[in-house]
Amino acid sequence: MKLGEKLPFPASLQVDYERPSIYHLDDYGKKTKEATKDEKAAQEKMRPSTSFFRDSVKRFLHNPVATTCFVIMILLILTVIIMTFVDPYKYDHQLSEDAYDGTYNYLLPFQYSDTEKALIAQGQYVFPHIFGTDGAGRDFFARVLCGTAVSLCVGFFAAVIVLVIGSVYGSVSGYLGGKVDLIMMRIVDVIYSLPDIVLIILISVVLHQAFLTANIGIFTKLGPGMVSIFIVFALLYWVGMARLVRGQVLSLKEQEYVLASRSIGGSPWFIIKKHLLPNSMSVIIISAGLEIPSAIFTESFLSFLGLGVNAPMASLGSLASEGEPSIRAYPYLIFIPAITICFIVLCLNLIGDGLRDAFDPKLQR
Amino acid sequence: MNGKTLMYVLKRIGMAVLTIFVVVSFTFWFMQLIPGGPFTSEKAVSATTLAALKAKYGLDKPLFIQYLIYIWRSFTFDFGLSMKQTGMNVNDIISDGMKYSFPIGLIATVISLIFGTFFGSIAAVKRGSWIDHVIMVVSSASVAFPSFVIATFLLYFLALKLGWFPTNYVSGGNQAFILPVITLALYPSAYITRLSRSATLDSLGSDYIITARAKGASKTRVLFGHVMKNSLAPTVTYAGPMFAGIITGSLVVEQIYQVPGIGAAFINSITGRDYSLVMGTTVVLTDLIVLMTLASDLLYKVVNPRVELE
Repeated sequence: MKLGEKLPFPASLQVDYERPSIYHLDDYGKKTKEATKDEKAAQEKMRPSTSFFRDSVKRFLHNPVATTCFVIMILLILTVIIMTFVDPYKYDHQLSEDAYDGTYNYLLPFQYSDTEKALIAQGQYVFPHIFGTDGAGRDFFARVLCGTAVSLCVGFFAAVIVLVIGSVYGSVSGYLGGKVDLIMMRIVDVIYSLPDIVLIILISVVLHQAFLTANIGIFTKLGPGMVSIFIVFALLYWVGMARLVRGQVLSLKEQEYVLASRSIGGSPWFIIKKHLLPNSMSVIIISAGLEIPSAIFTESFLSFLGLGVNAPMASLGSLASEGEPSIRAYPYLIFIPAITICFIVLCLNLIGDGLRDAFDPKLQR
Repeated sequence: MNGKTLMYVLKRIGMAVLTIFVVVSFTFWFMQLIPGGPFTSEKAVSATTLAALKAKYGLDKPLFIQYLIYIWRSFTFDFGLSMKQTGMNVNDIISDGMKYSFPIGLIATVISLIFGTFFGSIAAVKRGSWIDHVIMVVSSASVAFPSFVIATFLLYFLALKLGWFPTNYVSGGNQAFILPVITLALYPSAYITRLSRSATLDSLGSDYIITARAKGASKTRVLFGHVMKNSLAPTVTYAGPMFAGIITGSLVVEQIYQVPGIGAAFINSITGRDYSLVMGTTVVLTDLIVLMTLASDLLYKVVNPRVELE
């Protein structure tokens, strides 16, 4: 037999069942012909390869409640962005002071002040006050838009803070292991058992007072309440994330590819960055996503107590808080922001539940 | 109690003491960040008066000595006199607040335990039926409502519009506690409903349930005698911290319904830099939370003897 000539039978008696041999025996024991190119191409037409991520997205899209909420949230965010540009009123613009017209205060939805009525009588177009105005003559729709944007941003950035601190701390602790891990996790245990509400209020009140007098440029601009909320999240809320990431890293670091990477000289930080974090990313992002509604919740709680953003800035909680004293006469001033918060948190919770079900098939009922 | 369990209990108690210590220390050093002191006010105070006041409350000593005294007093529950409310003992202020907060918190806890377990079990037993769907929708909606929203809605519709309930707590008589209790109980009830639903579902699927049914035990007997025993475990662990959480988290509800409870005292103490009252309220609230968590963790072992303690 010449070199390079194909053997009429497999060289090894071990049949590789995974890869079908190009030689088949038909029913009569005769050698069949090799498949033509077309036939091969027909065989190769498989489903597009699917990854864990794509699979999960598909599962998520099959969940009607979660998908609806997701679409609603996207629409809400778009509405806020677009309407902020369309709406001619600014959240901090006191219309009554500019026009010296007291009738601007406490307008009911879609009502006009005396000045505006005069303009309309002249035939000019006046943009309606969709949600009316508040006690200081500010357009309430613009304030609710601003408040929604602020609340969503607080939720998002708080989740990012938790994500960054928690995943760095957790992955370092999990990867290094041993004594370092023990000490780092004891610290987490202590922070975890701290009474959060007591500390949140303590921290926000203290920072509020400190920033009000200290006058540190950017902090004063953002409002001491906002900064203290972020600090609270940076101090207290990352521990759950750290535990989660540590658990992930502990199970991943026993994998062969980590050993391989280490054997060719990968440094711990490189391995964490290159192998461990990307592989636990989906779990991490899901739980960071679940952090968003809880951050919005906390922010509105603090703002309602008067520890959140400073007027004229608005968040949904602070709007509700401002509306509370006039609940008898002008209930819409508290109901609109209150309903908006409920709506946003409900949607985000349902999205979170959907994501968790989709990305964690083990938890599925 | 074997050696392992004893070690676990001791470890947990040590952890609890450490937690209280961390919170107290944090409170002390953090309060130093606030500019000004308890005696800063609009009225100018003469230097001699200030010195006398500081000497009276021990604020003239070096900071570290103050810290040691602070730690000692917080572990002996000797909080001394309030720095702002002249002549008032901190312990008295706290017990005055607790007189309002404690009963409301207790009733809310009991109500949410009863309702939560009840609805959770029903939803699990009638899984997939319309009852299950209604219960789940209501409970997931209730979890999304912040307490101040519920409080203002109830206040507006039931108290202001319909006039069924008084709007002021102190002068409102016996009916006044109903709305705060409903508000405080809603979130925990919804949470316990979800918790006990999934626990009951887990338990219902076990082999011993099928065995019990096969041996002829009635559905009711299986539910109360076999399923409940196991499905109550997560609720028990949640109940302790929940009670503490309701009391500490009642700030907003107390503000809306004008209840002069511990929450109001806590916020006033921090904004007024009333160091002794801050120490008092922080220590009491922290102790409450830590002890409740400890108690329910230890109780978990009693309810579920199979669990391994580490």
